[in-house]
Amino acid sequence: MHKHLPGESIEQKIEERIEEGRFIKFLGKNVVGIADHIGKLVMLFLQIIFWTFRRPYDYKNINKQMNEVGVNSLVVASLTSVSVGMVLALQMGAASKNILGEPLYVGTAVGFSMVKELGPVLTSIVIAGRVGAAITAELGTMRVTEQIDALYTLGANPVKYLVVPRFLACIVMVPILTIYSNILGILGGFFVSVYKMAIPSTRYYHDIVDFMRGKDIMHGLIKCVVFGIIIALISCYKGFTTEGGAEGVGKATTQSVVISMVLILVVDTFLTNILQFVGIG
Amino acid sequence: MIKLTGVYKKFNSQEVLRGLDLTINAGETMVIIGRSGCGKSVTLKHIVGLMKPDKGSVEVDDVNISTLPPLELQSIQKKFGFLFQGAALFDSMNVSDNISFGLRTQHLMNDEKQIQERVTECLRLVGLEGIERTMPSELSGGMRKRVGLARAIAAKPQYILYDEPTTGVDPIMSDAVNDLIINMKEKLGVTSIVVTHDMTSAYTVADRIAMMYHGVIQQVGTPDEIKNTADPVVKQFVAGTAKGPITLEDRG
Ligand SMILES: Nc1ncnc2c1ncn2[C@@H]1O[C@H](COP(=O)(O)OP(=O)(O)OP(=O)(O)O)[C@@H](O)[C@H]1O
Ligand SMILES: [Mg+2]
Repeated sequence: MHKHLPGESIEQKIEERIEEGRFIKFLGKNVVGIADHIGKLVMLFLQIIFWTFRRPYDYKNINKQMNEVGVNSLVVASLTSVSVGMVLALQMGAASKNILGEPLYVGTAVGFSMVKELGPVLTSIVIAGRVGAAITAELGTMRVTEQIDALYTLGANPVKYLVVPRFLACIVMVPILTIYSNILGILGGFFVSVYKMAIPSTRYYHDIVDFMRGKDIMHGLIKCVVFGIIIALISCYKGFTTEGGAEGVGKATTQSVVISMVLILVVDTFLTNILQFVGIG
Repeated sequence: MIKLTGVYKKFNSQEVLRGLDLTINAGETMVIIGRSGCGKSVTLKHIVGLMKPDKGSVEVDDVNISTLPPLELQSIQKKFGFLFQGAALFDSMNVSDNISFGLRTQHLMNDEKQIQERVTECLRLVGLEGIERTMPSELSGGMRKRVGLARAIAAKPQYILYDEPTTGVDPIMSDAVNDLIINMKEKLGVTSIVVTHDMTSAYTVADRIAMMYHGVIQQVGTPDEIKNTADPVVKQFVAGTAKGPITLEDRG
């Protein structure tokens, strides 16, 4: 084995070539696959825009989806944001106490973290898990039981009838829930600061309002509109392209949630950079 | 008139349609028969534009629908009523909303009372009066099929495609469904395409019968021509014997 026989090296080379070939094929297949998905997502997005502005508006369905996405997410959004606000206050309080001897700038830390990062990201992730999964499962089931085909034959466009109401609900409700989460998170931090760390309530208040600018709030809101678009687009796309019965619906739902969550976090990084670059926040 | 010319369709590596030619004249009832899995449902979906051929053309009233942009295709699709093999009822809506769905989306009727009357009438035609408020999940298989049928005919389409209308329906009701198909033709001049495994029903409703085999039409003819065919494949199929040119493994 250790001797370098001429025949062996040729075989080895062939092996390597085959490996390279496989690798390129693997790479090619994935790149083409991803490009294909992106192309179809863009197509879906354009169709959504087209059908959004085409009358008549389907108020009944839009209203139903707004309720589903917004009102029914209130409890989870509240729990998440209050907990995060409290934890932030505890950690910031403890850290500044260790370093500086007293809890300082707790309100600033909680306020900025919530409004610019954690409010938008956590709310969106909670909604991706709750609403995104439901959308993919529902549309996916409709796909595999031919209900989406049935819509076409009855003269209804599935994008207009199914996707547009969900899309509108997401881009309206994600920002509203985010604002609500921000407020609750800041309140959670307030309770911890005032009742556990004995920070005067006016100080907590001034720590926030003295530093927070309009564009900091803008920064968070722009982000969550984008996250709302991501959630609606990915979950509807995954639902529409579901194949393979009940198992397929399960797979599509899992993928939809995972892709939305990862995409939210990745896009957040880029978006933060871009927004800071153009001077928003 | 519906005209399929040289239609090819492949799923992954499986060639389902291999140059299928079929013409359905206005006002006639065409029955399509063939082995399970031979591509009958796929053919119907090509006719309404739910699937696009890889090659070949599908013409509806002299318009090639396989190259039509979505909005124009949608207006052609309004000419069709489609009974899906699995009924495909909207399970978030009750029976009445299912049946009236097409009437509402196509704005064929705006008066609520008129819509309700049409729903009741369609339900009566399929022998299911009084289940307007029932949800699809509470229905039996045969009932779902018949609600699907009611939904397909509600908008009074020019073409109705029935994918196995009598499968899962009891013999007495099957006969009523046959009558319904015949009535649609005679009273409303509807052009129908019926996919079925039920030869009695096929002979009853058909003006012509087409047998699909290996992705093409093996033979088209009147019920009498098909009954007395000389083609060994068609002969074996309509007689329903296991011995003959079609083997069990051969899915057609
Ligand atoms: N969306 C699809 N994706 C992949 N393959 C498909 C799809 N639809 C149909 N097929 C394949 O095409 C073939 C024909 O299917 P089709 O449903 O037309 O059969 P059929 O003639 O209607 O059978 P049956 O009488 O059992 O309803 C089958 O082998 C099926 O596996
Ligand atoms: Mg079928």
